Amino acid sequence: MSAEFQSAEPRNSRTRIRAAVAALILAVSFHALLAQAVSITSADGKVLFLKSGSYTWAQVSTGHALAAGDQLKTATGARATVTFDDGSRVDLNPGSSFTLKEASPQASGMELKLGSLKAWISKSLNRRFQVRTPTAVCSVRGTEFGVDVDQGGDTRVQMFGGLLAVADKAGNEVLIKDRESLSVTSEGLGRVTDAGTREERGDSDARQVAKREVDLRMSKEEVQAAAAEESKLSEFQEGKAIIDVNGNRVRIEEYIVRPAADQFKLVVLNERADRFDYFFYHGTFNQALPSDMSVALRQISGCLDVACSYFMTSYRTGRSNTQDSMLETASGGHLVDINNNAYGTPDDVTAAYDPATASFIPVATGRPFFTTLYDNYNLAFNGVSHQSWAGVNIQNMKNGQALAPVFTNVTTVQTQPGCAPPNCTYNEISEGVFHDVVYAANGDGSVWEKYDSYVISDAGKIAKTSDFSATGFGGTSFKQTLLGWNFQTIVTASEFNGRKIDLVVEPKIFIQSGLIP
Amino acid sequence: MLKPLFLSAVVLAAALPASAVEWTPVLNGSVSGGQYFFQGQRGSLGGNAALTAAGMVKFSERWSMLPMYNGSYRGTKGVDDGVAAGTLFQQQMDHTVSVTGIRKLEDSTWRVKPSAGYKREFLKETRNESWGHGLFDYEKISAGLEFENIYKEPFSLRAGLDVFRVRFPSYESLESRSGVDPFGNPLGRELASKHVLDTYNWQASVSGTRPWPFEDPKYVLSGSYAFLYKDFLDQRLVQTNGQFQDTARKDFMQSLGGSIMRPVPVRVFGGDGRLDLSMGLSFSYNRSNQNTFDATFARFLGDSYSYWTLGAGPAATLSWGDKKAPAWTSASFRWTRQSYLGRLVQDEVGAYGSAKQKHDRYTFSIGYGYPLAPKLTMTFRTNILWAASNHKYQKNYAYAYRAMNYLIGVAYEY
Repeated sequence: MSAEFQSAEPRNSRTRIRAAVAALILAVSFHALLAQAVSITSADGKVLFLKSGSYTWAQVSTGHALAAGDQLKTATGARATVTFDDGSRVDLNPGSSFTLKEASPQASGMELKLGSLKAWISKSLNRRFQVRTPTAVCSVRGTEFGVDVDQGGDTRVQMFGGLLAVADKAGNEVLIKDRESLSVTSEGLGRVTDAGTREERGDSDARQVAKREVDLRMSKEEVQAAAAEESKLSEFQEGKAIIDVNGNRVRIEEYIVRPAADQFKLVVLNERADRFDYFFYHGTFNQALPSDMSVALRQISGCLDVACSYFMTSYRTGRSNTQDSMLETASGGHLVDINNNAYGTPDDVTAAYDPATASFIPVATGRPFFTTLYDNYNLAFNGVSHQSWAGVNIQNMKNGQALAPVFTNVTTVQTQPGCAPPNCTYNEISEGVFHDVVYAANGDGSVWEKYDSYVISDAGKIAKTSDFSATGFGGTSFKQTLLGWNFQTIVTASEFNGRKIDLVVEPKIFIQSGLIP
Repeated sequence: MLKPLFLSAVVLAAALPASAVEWTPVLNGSVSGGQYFFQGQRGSLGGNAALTAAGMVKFSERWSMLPMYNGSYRGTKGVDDGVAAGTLFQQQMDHTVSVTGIRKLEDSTWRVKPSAGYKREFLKETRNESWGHGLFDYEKISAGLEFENIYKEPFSLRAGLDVFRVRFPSYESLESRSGVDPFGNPLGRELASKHVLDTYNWQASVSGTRPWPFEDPKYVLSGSYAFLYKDFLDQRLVQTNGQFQDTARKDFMQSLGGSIMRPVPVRVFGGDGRLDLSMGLSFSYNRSNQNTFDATFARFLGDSYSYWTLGAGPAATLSWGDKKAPAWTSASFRWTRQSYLGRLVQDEVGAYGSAKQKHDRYTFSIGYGYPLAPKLTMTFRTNILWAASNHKYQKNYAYAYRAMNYLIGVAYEY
């Protein structure tokens, strides 16, 4: 913008001292063998015409013929082109005052009192131009030149091709050639300068126009690109694209499907460049779900003080890489006040997740807490059961207790010193990072499953213990801090033949599903 | 994938000037290197490069054409870029080809400018993305018609109509291809869409610049208004229960902008200099019919894409020395507020509050340019951003942070 404004500074801002100098009259004599018909072939904006002998200026239009003595004026922003019948032409720039002095087969003469023009002369005629000013006589032999006359009468002649002989009033003469320019004032000839680049030779106006158009086009591109950028940002803002622990992009989509009036299905999809994994949690409630599902879903993880009005009677949850699967199924769901059951305090809930505030709140001993226990459960990898239980109206989950289910555990968790990493249960908390491995296997190790879990940021950085130093490890505050991170869990099993299920899920998903107590 | 670019380049080459026409080349290029800082984390050193090559082809006094190529590579993140996952690692490359025709209308200062363009942007934001396969790569095909009246050089009035399509070829919703679970039940919702980011856009705009006072300008006034209609043909509306309805998302955005600029002659180091002072103001209002459903909280958020944005700020550029190759220094400050009409705030762990989201951004930039040779300038720029928000949940996307970058390089302008 600044450059445009600078270029817009009018010539009338120049000193008026030069105005005292008589207006430079530029006369161009044009010798030609052919008869000369001169006409206006272009008129943009306010272009005024004064017929020789007349006193009334009038707007002129394209096609108008010019005769000797006729005058033209171009207003600010206006342009005109005068064309000779041999194809030679003169472009008048804005703010120019022009007179056709002579138009005969032998010669053509022009006068430019103010403004600028650019002329192209047909080479085939090898014509000669004479430029007369009050202070100089110029003889031009060439094809392309420009003339600029300011209000003070100073003239600048620029050659784009050919030769130009310039003489001042005193008879001093100098020859300028292609790429050279010369200023002529009332004091005489100036120094011949090599214009150097084409821009300096006189097409700066054209370049400025070109640059302006480039700037306008670039601005338009920016506006349109902003529309595309906004679509991308909304995806980021909804957390649909994060980085995993290996530095790979993981796209995440989370949504709820309504298969039936009393059912919901929470789905988490993960996609990387070379794989697709998913998690789902399909629950069936004791009654039809309300239109605001959050009322029911908030009660999945349990209810304080009073029995939940909505609880699940069965669920199916699973993870898959589209080829392998880890599936859990449970049925016979019913509510149990876990803090006041016959088993006593060992299975009491001491901290409960409150979905309304996304926070954990402490639960005092003996305070009623209703949670759902299932009479039947099965965990299977590619259809092979690793763990299951069965019971009737079970009231606690402690093996061997009254009203507890009967467990059938094919695999059991393997811990040190009975095993050693990597096929063992261990963590790297002591090394300062949240990386946890749980390994379960049968007696001879032929059936096994492994959960390789990381706590990571959206940028794929593994959480450090120092990130939790303010809250300590374990307990309500720890879980609260954990909500700000992601879980990446890589599941492998003896049935997967070396393949894995690799899922990045927000902890809230697992917590609200009851998968993390 | 690069075929459209290649074809466009061929078209451009065919449009290069024949010997009988005048043409004026424009060439701008820059190379720079720098770093991005976010909350004390430092990105690795990266390089940026940009090239604009264009030629104004003048066929006659009435007809001109501007074929143009613009390409850029960016290895240093900008402070205005969104901060989500992959904050410190990002490479961007884009290529744009366009052709603008310029037709001067007879006996007037009006011009008609039809245009067409094609843009391809490539992004590498993670280690497993390669050029041409970035998730958020996009292409844009555009066509437009502009009417311009240069009523007093270089001041003008412009009115335009543009149509453009934005397509993200690598981005399809996962849900649309989720299949069935191991029990044979569908994983996706009914009416799940596929190309959810693709849009058709129609924009009408008017803008103008005016000297003030008109005859003896001391100030430059600029103003603009634009109306943009975005049609998400394959993004269905989300209902209150989180399911889709068979209606597509549509956004309407209106933008107003204005600025005043004052050039002041000054003396700098004993010579002539120039100080350009400006003040800008902008307002935009986006109205969308789309909602969101937060599955994690089973929470429906109506009207979550409608917002208004207000921005304002001053800028100053001081230049001195050779007028054709001046040295310059610049400084600018800009504040913007984006205020959502339906998107609720969340606390640090995601619990929803009752207030609507408001995001403030304060950007301060300074720059310096020193001419090394004719048309060649050494440049230094640094940008500092302070972002603040009442939305505290920043697990997916940062709303309150500080970021900075700097770039040192050279710029060539022909």
